[in-house]
Amino acid sequence: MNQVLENADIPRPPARGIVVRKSWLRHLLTFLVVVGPGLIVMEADNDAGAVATYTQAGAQYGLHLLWVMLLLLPVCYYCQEMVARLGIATGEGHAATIYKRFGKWWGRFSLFDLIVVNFCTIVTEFAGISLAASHFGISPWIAVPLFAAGLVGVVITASYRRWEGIMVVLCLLDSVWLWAASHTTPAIGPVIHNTLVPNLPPGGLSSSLVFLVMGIVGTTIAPWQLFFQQSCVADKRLRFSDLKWARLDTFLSSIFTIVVGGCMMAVGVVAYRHNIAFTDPGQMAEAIAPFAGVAVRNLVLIMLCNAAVLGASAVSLASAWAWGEVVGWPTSLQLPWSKARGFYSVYALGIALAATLVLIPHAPLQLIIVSVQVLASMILPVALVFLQLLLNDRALLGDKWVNRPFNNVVNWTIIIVLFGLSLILAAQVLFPNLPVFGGS
Amino acid sequence: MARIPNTPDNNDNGSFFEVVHPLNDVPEKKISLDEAGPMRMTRTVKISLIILRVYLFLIILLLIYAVLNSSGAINRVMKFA
Repeated sequence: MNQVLENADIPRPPARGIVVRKSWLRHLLTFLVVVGPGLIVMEADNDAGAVATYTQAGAQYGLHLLWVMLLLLPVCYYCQEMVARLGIATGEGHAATIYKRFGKWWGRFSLFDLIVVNFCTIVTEFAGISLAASHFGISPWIAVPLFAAGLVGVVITASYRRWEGIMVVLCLLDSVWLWAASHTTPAIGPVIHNTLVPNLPPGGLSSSLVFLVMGIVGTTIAPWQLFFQQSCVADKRLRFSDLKWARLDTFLSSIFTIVVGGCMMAVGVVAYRHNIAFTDPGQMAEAIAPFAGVAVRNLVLIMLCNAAVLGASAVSLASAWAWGEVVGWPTSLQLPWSKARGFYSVYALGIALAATLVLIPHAPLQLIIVSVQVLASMILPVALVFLQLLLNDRALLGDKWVNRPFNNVVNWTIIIVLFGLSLILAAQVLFPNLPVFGGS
Repeated sequence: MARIPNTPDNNDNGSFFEVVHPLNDVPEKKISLDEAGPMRMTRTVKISLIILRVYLFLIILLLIYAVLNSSGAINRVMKFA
């Protein structure tokens, strides 16, 4: 809370915050203390699965799908802004909100869906770690357990701020993708054109294209993000007056995550240009090394690990928060192990099981990665319907916190488009011989 | 929770500002979900939620089919049969 002490002779309160004399500095510092949940939720969404999906999109379709990323920018922002608002207004997580407002059935069903999709997602994170480690010559049997132990260690230190600080640094590391993209993209013109002008790649609207677009949607905005950010905002105890800064955090982070995602796609385009086939990002990194350089190869592998760590921590926490909220356990990163055993156990168990599963040889990791994201994108519109109902719940939130008409138009449009994509995919799966359109 | 009311953001009168981390601040009274209880839903909303259940069930089945098909598992089973 920003407090104005009107005169210098007013006794200072106990040293809890930072006292500044400049208004702009106050705003900057307030933003800096609030920033975190938005940045983490957005960048953690650029996880190992995202690296796989975006690079695959670049490798299969060149820069043709960059415009999809631009379209996803408002989707990212508006969805996450709603949960940030709901978290600040109620001080409770998303699972608790659904459970208490829609009843036990939907509460448990949402939790079940979330836990299943999240667990599969955590498996893909460890698959990313395993792939990257093996390309560096490190056995997955060493790397995967080490990363799993590290992920658990960071969380059980009973300090929200420590965890958040580490995550923010890892998020900002993603800026390196900008260098990789600039290094591998010869001209900026096609990037701008394909970002601003929607177009279909050669071959038109095929089921593999729809599947990949659904994967891109699923990796850019996923149900776990709704649960994560609301719980994170509640755990951080953001105040009513922090809303505008939480919105700014979410907005700037949406732009950052979309730009980073676009850069991943641009790196994948090297494979498109040289007609390189690959089944996972590790293979892609090796295959593009002769054309893009060893530095890019190493960077892709390191950033794959970084993405996996961010994703695994955030997704596991989303599960742990949601589980604890529904069963009524204490759920806070500020609590020591002894006071939140259930919460930390769910987190650690998710990590441990996923790490174990990924060590099973010959698992079809790329298929799992894309399928999880498609599943996430199919569940997403349902999760957004609940969010819409909650954010229009005037009896609960009052006039101050409910959606404005503009929010509702945007959100219903997003929901209808997502349902439409799901139905197109369903039609393509059921009737693979449907004529394609839009091809050139 | 603000202990001292906010005043305009200027510093001409010698005022200064304290920026407190949310975790160090006095907890605010939030909107209580427990007091609000379950949401009152119209018949339309209830029907829509039932349709959503059906949609989720069908779409998950479809995805399982798509994944098995992509992995070649269905072809292998058909050949075996």
